Amino acid sequence: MSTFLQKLSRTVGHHFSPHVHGAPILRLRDVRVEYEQTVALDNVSFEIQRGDRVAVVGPNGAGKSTLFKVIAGVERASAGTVEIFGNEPEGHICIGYVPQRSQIDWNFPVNVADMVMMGRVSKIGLFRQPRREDREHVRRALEQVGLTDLAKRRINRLSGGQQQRIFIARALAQEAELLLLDEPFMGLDAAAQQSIFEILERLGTRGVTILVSLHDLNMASKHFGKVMLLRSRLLGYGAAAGVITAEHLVAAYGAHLHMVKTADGALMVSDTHCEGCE
Amino acid sequence: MFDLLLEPLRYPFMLRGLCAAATVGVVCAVVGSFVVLRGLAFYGDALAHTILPGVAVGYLIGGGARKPLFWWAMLAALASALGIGFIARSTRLKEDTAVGIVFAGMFALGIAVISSVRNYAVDLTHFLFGDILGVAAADLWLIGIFGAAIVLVVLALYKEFLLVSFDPVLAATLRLPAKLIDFLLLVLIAMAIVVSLQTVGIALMVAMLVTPAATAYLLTQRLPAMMALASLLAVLSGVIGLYVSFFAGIASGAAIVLVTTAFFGLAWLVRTIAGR
Repeated sequence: MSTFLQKLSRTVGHHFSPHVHGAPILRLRDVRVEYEQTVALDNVSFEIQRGDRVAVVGPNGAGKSTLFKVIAGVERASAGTVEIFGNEPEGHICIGYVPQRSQIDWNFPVNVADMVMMGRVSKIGLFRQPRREDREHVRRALEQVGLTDLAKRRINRLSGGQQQRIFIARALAQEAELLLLDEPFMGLDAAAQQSIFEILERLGTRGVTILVSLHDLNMASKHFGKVMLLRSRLLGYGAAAGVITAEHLVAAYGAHLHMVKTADGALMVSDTHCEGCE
Repeated sequence: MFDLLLEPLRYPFMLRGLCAAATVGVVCAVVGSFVVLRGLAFYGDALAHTILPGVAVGYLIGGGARKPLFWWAMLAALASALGIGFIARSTRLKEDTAVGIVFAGMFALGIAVISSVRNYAVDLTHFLFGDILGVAAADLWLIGIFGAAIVLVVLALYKEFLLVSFDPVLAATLRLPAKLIDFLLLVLIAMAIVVSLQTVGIALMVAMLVTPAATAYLLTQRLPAMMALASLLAVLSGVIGLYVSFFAGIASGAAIVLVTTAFFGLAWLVRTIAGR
């Protein structure tokens, strides 16, 4: 019986894609995503190397969430190609996609450890129970985000910062090599934001590649090695100084941008969009 | 007192009824936990009603024989589940609209078929409100085998059902066949409904799927505990309901559902008072 189940599990289960040696962890070529009436992404091309930490900025509706979904292989590009380690995202389980916190029903009857264990479902395999190895992955993931003490707590009793950290822990338990975080700082207080930064920095030094979408341009230039400015098209990508320029910002934010030249020459920029409208 | 409790057990039909009620209780509680967590109550209610034309046609063709009804009901439920999915996907209508259309259409078809037969009222009542004291030994076998199969599948694919219900996007990035797993869950709901047809009937079916699971949801912290407590409550409701029905002379399906509702009311009270 059990060998039958194993065979069935192997037949039904995926054969995951190999990582092509020397290929960049992420490469997009002329990616276009169209919805019924609108173009969410247009002609987006870039490459990201292993260990990069990239902030993706742009106004609401700029296609940040869409970009992440295409990279994660959850949505398909209408045109162009997305490659993870040299082949299609659909074959990979090494992509940790962290949705906005509002996407989850936090009243679900699961505790912190249960939720993190979900990251291991593919590794455990069909019809099987978590093994000691899987529990060890969960334990280490919780340790890395500092939630060990809360392992048995039900998820509806977590703060916003803790919810964000459990998402990251789940991606770690998944053994994700590419982490996509959609607006992880939204609605968090300064202390909680700081703890997320610290976790991301630690992961970066361990070779985990990280893409984070956010609103705050200062935060992007201060905490991330590279910045990507998006408004359906890719307006700039590289070191913050070269990307966050007056010209690029006008192109990205257009009418919603207010620029004031102050006496000491500083440029003040404000995005009048409310956060979280997306 | 003890004699009073034993008295109904002297009747074989009561014993069979108790067995059926307990089995159905466990099956509905396990599947119903997902129904509650995913907000599929309306879907479950609808699916229960859509089996009416199946049993009606089976009744006509089989000349009143019981056994084929089971398969006809299964056929109607699966066809409805497929139809709902197909309509929702091909028209961009919201799923609950598609459910409503299939629900009412199939139910009307069932009534139309039954009304063409002579003793319309009697048979319709059996389908609508159940006939648990009429459960035959052969029915019990079918209920047991299918019930066990349903529960085993849910347990075997527990972590997949949990993941697809909780976070479909993660399921997609983990490359799980999420659509297939979702469809399997709908099929299991349909099967659970057919298995339970004789206990509470079509009209009150949704209570078996939803009420014990909802009660357990209020009192537990994790899904396995929720399923276990829901099963226990459903079995208790079945047994107590049948005793109430026996001694008070009220319809058995209604008695069972009223007991589940009473449990829910108690749990709700406890939670509200404890939450203060």
